[in-house]
Amino acid sequence: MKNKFIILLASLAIFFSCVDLDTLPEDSYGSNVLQDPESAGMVINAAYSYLTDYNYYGRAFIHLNDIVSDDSDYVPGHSIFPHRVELDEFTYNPSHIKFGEIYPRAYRSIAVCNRILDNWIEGHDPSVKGQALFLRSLNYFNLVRLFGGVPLITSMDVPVDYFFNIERATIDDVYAVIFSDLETIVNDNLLPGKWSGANAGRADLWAAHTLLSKAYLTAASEGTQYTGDKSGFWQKAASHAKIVMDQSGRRLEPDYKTIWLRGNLYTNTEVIFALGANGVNVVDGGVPGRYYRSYEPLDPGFNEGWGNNVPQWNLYNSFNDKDYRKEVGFLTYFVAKDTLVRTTGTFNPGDTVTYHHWIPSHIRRPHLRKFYYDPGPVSNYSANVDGVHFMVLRFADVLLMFAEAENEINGPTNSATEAINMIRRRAFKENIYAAGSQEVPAGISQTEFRQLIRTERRKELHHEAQRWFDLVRWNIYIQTMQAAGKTNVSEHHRYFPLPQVELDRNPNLRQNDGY
Amino acid sequence: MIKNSFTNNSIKKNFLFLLMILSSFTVFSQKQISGRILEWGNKDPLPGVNIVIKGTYTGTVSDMDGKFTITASPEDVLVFSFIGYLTEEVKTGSNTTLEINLKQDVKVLEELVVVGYGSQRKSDLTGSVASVNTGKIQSISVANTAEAIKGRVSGVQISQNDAAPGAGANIRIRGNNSINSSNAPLIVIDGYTGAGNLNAINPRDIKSVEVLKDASATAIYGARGSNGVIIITTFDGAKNTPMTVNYGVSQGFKDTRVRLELLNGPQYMTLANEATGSDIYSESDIQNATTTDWQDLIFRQGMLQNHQLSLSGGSDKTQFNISGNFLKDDGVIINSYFERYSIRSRITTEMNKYMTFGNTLYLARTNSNATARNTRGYAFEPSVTDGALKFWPHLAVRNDQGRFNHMNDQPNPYAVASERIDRLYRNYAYNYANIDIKPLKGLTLRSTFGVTLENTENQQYWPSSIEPVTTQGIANRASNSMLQWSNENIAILDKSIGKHNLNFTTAFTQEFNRSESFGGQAAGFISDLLTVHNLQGGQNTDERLLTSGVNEATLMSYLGRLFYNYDQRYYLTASYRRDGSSRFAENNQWGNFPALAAAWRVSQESFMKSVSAINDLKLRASWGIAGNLGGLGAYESQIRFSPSASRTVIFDDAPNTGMVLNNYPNPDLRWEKTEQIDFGFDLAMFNDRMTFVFDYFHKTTTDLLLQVQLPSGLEVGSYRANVGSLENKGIELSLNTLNIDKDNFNWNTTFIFSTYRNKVLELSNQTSFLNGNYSGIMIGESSIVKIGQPLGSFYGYVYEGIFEDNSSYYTDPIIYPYLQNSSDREGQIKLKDINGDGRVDANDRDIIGTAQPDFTLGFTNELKYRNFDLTVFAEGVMGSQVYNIQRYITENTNANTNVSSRVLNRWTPDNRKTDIQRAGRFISLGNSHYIEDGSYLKIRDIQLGYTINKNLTQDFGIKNMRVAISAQNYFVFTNYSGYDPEVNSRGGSSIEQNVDLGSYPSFKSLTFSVNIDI
Repeated sequence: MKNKFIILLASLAIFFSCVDLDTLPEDSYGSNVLQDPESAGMVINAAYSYLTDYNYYGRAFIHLNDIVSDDSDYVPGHSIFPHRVELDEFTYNPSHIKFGEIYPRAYRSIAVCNRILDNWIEGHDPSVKGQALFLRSLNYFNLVRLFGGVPLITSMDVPVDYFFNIERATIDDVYAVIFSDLETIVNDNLLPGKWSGANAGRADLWAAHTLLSKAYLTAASEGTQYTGDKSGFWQKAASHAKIVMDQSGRRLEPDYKTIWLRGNLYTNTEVIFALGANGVNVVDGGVPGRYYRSYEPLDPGFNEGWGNNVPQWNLYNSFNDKDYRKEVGFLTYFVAKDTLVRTTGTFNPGDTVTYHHWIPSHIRRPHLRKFYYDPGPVSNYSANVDGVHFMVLRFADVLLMFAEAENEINGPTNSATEAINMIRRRAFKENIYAAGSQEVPAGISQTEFRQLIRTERRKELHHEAQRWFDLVRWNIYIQTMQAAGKTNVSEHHRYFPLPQVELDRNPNLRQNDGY
Repeated sequence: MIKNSFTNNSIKKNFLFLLMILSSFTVFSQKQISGRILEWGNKDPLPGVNIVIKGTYTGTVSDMDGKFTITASPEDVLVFSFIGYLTEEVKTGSNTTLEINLKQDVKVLEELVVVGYGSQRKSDLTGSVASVNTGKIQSISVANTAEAIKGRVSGVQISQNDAAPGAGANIRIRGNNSINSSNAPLIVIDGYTGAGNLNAINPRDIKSVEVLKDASATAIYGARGSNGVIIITTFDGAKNTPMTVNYGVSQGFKDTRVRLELLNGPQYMTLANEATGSDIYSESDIQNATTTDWQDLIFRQGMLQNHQLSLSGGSDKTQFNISGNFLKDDGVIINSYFERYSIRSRITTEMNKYMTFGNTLYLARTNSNATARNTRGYAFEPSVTDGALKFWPHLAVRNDQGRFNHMNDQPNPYAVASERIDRLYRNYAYNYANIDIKPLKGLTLRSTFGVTLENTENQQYWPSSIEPVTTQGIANRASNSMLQWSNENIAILDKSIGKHNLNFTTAFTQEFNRSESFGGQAAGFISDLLTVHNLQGGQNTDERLLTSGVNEATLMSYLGRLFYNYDQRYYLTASYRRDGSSRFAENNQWGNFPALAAAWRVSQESFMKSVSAINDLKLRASWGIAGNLGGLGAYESQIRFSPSASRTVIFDDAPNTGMVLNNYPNPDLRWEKTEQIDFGFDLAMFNDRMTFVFDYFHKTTTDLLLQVQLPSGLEVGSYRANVGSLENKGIELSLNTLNIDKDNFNWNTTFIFSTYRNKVLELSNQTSFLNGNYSGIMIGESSIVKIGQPLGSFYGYVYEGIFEDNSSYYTDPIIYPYLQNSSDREGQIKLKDINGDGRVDANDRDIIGTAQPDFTLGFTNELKYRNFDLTVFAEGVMGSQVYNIQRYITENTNANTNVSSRVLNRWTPDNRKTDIQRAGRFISLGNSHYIEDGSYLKIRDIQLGYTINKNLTQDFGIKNMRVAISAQNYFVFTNYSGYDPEVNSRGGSSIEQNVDLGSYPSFKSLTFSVNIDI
């Protein structure tokens, strides 16, 4: 009898086979998705997505540059945002939210790139690796310019403690990664010369060359605290720019205003790398491509313009009246509801304008409009301009970088002055490829030409997240800002402080001096 | 000794056989004695009673009518014994007919109490286990099981989310142990852990409920035990009883208990003119205005109907209990209802003398319609009650075109309540089979196999009539199907060697759970006729949405437990469980849960024998560790990627979805761990007429699952880890007294009291975090979790009153940036500058109240007088607070929506001393003015029953018939100004407790019931 029981019990135990404790998710992918060539393309989209986030290139990054440079002032619009006043007046501290928002997003984008690079193996689509390297170096390039030497994370195959303890790298180390990533792309030809069809808008080979030129140019500049051997950097900056000028097929868009014309992004001849937007799809709670709204005059009837990022007078006044970039760049009339109210003549301090709504007097200044120059009829306004792309790298920048680097190596050579002339000819609506009225004078000295390039750079690229970085690398930031009336600015403002929450979470992070 | 194993059919045969034996001992003085055995008190016949002539093996058994015949001599003593009854001895004497009344053995200490994986005599318990028995559950007119336990067990706090039919209840045993994970106890039904849906269980099938509270009782459930365990035992058939048919019916009528006073049409229009400073409404508009009472439109008299039919009985070998139940609960808001149909069958059969087989099959279907939400598409969605309180009183239900009027972006609450569909269908079935084998004396081997299938389907339809939500109809369906099975293999060894008694239990168990979800949405229908049944007809392609998901989890466990006692004086319990779960991360796949307990039954010592008043005294102490895996997602410890619409990038003008990391894998992720100590004593006095139980407990929960804020470098900003800790300590006592115990009259009182203190000890890399920000309500974060403070702490500004006039503007050193115009401050709210920096801003928010009560109590009186029985049950909570956000909403003066009639007392130049601000569009910040005392005492139930005399009903074949009337919640004592201080608009959240956002109002009800046994 007893034996029967044992047999019965044993058979019961066999009947109920043991459960498996290693269940795998069936509604999401495991890390093997990174090894799958097709899904890796989808993973890299996320790295781009962080860039278009409204806390990064979607809005915050651009305005931050405008306000801490002499491009713009912050003026209160509908309501006062204290943190923007703090930026404008240089009273911000490490707890400030704006750069606190950019910092983690840049790192999230880097994290996605790192994951792809950790898992990429020979035989996979080289362009996935190329894009990951490009986006990682773009993010590190932004971080090193915003914050100085930052923690350098280049792989995700680390335990979580690593992130809580990592120390800051030196500025040189960060640049080393940027140079090496971008040189890998160009040396191994990882990226195509042109993306087409549904992929139009991804980073291509020329974007890598341009960014490499920019990184060398920046590292070579005296204001950048790169301590290593800089010899050859100007040369590398010039030669990578030259490659783009000669081989990319990109050229100046004939009309300055069409650079930001909505819908023109994929036929634009000037674009090297831009972040697209369609005004519809939401990224992380915001619609990318609405950065232009801060520039629009404050008026409820003016398509929700916020009017809080207003160009400085000295920028507006630096333009020759015949300079087409002045007309495209600045709004000197005002639309209220459906009525067009155009002011006559030029705009000067103290001018009064007929506004149809209450607006504090200090905003009676020209507003920036190059990103929304041609809105068309007011009724179609939203559909025509909402969701404008942002030009991260464009051909005019390549010409300016080439001229600057060439001037530093060889002085104002013909190829250098020609690059500037092309930009000036377009600005004065002349034939870009034939001598015009605004040629760089012959016999200009190297120093004069350097100054001329800097002025031209500002006129061409203002409000494109370039000016602040330019001022810092030229080592003229403090004096320029003080001249612009920002008396609080001091040496430590060359960099933003590391966000306080990062220091709170990682005891090994050292704050920038002065904060 | 004659075994008590006569079957009904064989009684006569046995009787003849007995007579033959008896007749062989022919003694002249012997005579035949016949008699009847009845139950003491109710005079029910008792079949199967053993009748033995004392000192002999001669005896018989009573028949179905309690009758017996025996031959005995006059000097013989007859011994009448029956399990569960006190044994009676009667000297034969000259009697030839006897009527014996057997009294039920009420010795509570001999009752068997179900504990995890076994049962124990109450007197042998070493842990803190409380029981609620049959009668108490059956006599309450309740729709769900949680309500039946409420206020009956010390240390158990049960709060309804709201009073909607079928609404869930939050059961908390000894406080909240977790911040983010579930705080609900494990539900075990007849030993089956996979049937834990209390709402689907028919309370009338329940024989008893045991609540396991301390760690020595719960640790045997390992990683699921830390929130306590509720063990439900359902009815079984009794051995050797003829089939009994029981039919019970009850009918209840429910009405709202409180209606809130609001402004009428003219009053509201006056306020609107005042608030905007313009004449929106002319004098004649106001004079001609009508008032719509929106509360009256959405509320109604609710009804509760319950029918229960059960059949039970059994032979010597096989017993059964089969029941069917129908419940229909129509709520006090129009169109809200809950229906439950259930069938349950329990059969046990003894296959041979070694093996017993049992099976329970339960099938249930519930249908309900909620009229909870008033709007759509907000992260936080207000209720229709909220809608009825806020809707403009001067608007009629419909406009001139016959369409429903709506108010700005808010729909008409009557339209929502009457036309919106929000149905939930649930099919629920489980089958639980067990086979018990007793190969040796004292050894039981038990194998069980249970399967649960549950399908839920939520159907929502917003018809085109409900503007501004939609003019074309929006349909949603969401379904979930769940399969769960479990298998347990248990061995129990019971052994006594001399005075050493031991019971050893060991088991291997495993469980599998898989659930799949699917949902679809469509909008833009040409007609509302087809509601959710024609999703393909929805023409708005951009509103089409499909979702699906799956979760699979497994659990495997080994456990062992030893109960040991020496001479029923010294007790020791030791248990150990090892749980492996697929939810746990690779580095912590297995968890260990030990427990120890000791007890000393002082009353068994010889020195206590002289203290006759005390018939039982036991001191108990226990320690143990139990876990909580309820907060762990099925795959949370694993690295996961999925496409995310919020990580989109535009290429070629079109969105390209990005694939992102869902969660950063934590290879150490594991259960939350609660370590608990318990000291207590059980005291029984005056022959069990007074029993008293006292417990002190201290629980420390560590390894709380919290979000750890990550430094930058990863794709995510935080990840989950076991980092926090909190504690709960408290005291519980319960006192049961039998005040009067007479044949015709008895009175029994139960009093319970519990108190606990909760405190957060440790969080992740933060000292506090905020919660409870409701979109659409500008109150800011309303809750805070902070180290050193209890969960359920309210957060906000401190209210200091209303600025009576503007004079303080010139002297006040404090700046109030929230004021519309600081120099014109009169009539606006004054908030306190807590940090003293001269500026009232977001840094001046602090803890402004707590939901944690000082103590809770329950008080039950049961009286029986002849055929009448009366139960009065009261329950109370003292010292808790409620954040009355509903009042915050209905006391604003911007006149965007209708408000409370208290706004008539608003600040005006003629009424400066008030607590209601002046009419106008002012910023209103969440503050302590809306924290109210949430204490209450409710007479939950007064029930009067009458059992009709048998001789009146017997002719109709009715064995027993009871009629009863019950009045519930007719007497409620509270200072709370809203519908009910028992409110949890945020469901089971341990962070946002006692928040009133306009919940389904509570009700009072009158219930009539009839119970018949055939």
